[in-house]
Amino acid sequence: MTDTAIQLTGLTKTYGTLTAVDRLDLDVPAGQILALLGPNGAGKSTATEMIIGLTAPDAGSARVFGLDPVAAVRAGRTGAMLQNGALLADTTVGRLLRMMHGLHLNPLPLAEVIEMADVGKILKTSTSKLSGGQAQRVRFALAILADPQLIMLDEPTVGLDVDARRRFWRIMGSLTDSGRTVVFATHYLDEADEFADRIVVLNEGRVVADGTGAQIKERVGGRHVSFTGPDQDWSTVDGVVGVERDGERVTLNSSDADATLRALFTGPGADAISNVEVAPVRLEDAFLALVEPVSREERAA
Amino acid sequence: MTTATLSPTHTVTRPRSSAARTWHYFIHSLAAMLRDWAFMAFIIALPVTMYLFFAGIYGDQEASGGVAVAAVMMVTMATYGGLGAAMNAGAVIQSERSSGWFRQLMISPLTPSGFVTVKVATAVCAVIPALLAVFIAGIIRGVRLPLETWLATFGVLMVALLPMVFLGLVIGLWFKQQTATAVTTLTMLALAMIGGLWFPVDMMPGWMQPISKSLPSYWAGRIGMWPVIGGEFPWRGVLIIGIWTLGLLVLGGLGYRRAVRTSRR
Repeated sequence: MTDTAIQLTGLTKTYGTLTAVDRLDLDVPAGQILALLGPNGAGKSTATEMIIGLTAPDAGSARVFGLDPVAAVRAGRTGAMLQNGALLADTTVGRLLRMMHGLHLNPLPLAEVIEMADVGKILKTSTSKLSGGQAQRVRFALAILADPQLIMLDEPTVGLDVDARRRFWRIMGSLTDSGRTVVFATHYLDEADEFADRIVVLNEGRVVADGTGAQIKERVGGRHVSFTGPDQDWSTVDGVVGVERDGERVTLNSSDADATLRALFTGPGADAISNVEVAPVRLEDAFLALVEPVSREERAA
Repeated sequence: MTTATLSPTHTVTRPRSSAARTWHYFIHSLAAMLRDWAFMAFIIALPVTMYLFFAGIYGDQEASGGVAVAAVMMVTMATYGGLGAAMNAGAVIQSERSSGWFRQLMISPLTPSGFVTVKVATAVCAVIPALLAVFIAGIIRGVRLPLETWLATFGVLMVALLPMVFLGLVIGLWFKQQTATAVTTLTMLALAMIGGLWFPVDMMPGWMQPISKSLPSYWAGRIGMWPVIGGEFPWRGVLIIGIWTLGLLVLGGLGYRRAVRTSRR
């Protein structure tokens, strides 16, 4: 038995001239909750499809608990929620779940799945008459039926309102407590920061950052120090990794806010500085900073 | 696997044999088809209505061999009903495959070939009610045949119509979903009309008759009639239906490879 849930080695998939996933290497230890973060077209869905065996890689390999992805799915070790995954039409939720339940080798008891996914009240509802949130709960029920050790979620909360999203993650939380591995693709940055142990940022099929939410913020500077001050070169101040200027307002991107503030207030221009604010870097900014240099490089190439 | 213990540790255990689970999927697919009342009404009501209408006009005349036209027409209309059922049920396979649902289905122990096998079996089952409905209409209309003739007619028609499931499937594979429905209906009508399932082929212009006699629908009708009117078994029909089946399997294989290339699966 292996302690690695997912092992991707040189995983590559191209569609025509587009390289969706580009020599991706990634190890996910069992029990980890990992967010695949990236803009549209970053390769999140294609990577997910290769991990669940829906798409065959052009090069490289994906192993799930040491198995071929298709074998892992058939053994019930992988469960997945596809992005906007269609449900079988013209049937009820209850019939659909019973049909799928009967296909699995060692499924969870159906009653338990119904309770966990909170679909008890919609069992008699037709699959074509579900709201976005309800359909998502049904997809979630389908994903956990097989009692999978690895749950892959491709943008699980897209199209859900804030309440439904919160509710979804509360249900997820109860599952991850049981030590299962969860990988979810998202472009909701807060979601990645809040629910994942580890964030892997993808752009153009490649990993551009890998770490905890805090580490990723740190990579582009930990704090924004902004103030009103004269137009001069601020980039040499201690801890500063980036400078932005908007009229009179200067924003310094600092990896060490304490050092930056100390330098500002003890330096020669201290009197000219007013209205100081210190704010954490939003993950959104961190994300853009990570993704943009790569895009620029690509355009130049 | 110490890190991966589950909170609900009790799972349902099933036999490792996939046959039982595939059977479960077949039963569910069959039940879903039978519950689709619009589909069932379509494949049953149309041939029954047409049979009662035409038999009402010509039914009391005598066909060759001293058999009532009502009996011969019952067989050809049952063939038409079975043809429609097989083709439409075959086309549904592809629409389910190309919808996103197939992808979800593939995240289960079900294999692609298991899916196709179950769906073809389900489509074959769609032929049964279509045949039986027209037979019952025939009985109501006064057709009386020995039990073994009923069984033989039913049996040979089932076998002769089996390839028409593949025809529906092939149309589904080669046309977009919206056009596939129209193409299926048009092909079915052409096969029924030119294949002599509505009017005897003898009533058609001479130049059309060779075309009619190269169609699987014509031969399915002839083979279905054989237990009723007797005479020599139409072996030529077995050959022609066989050629069609081979052609459809080749087209199906090519279409499937094309579908795999263009949609991601």
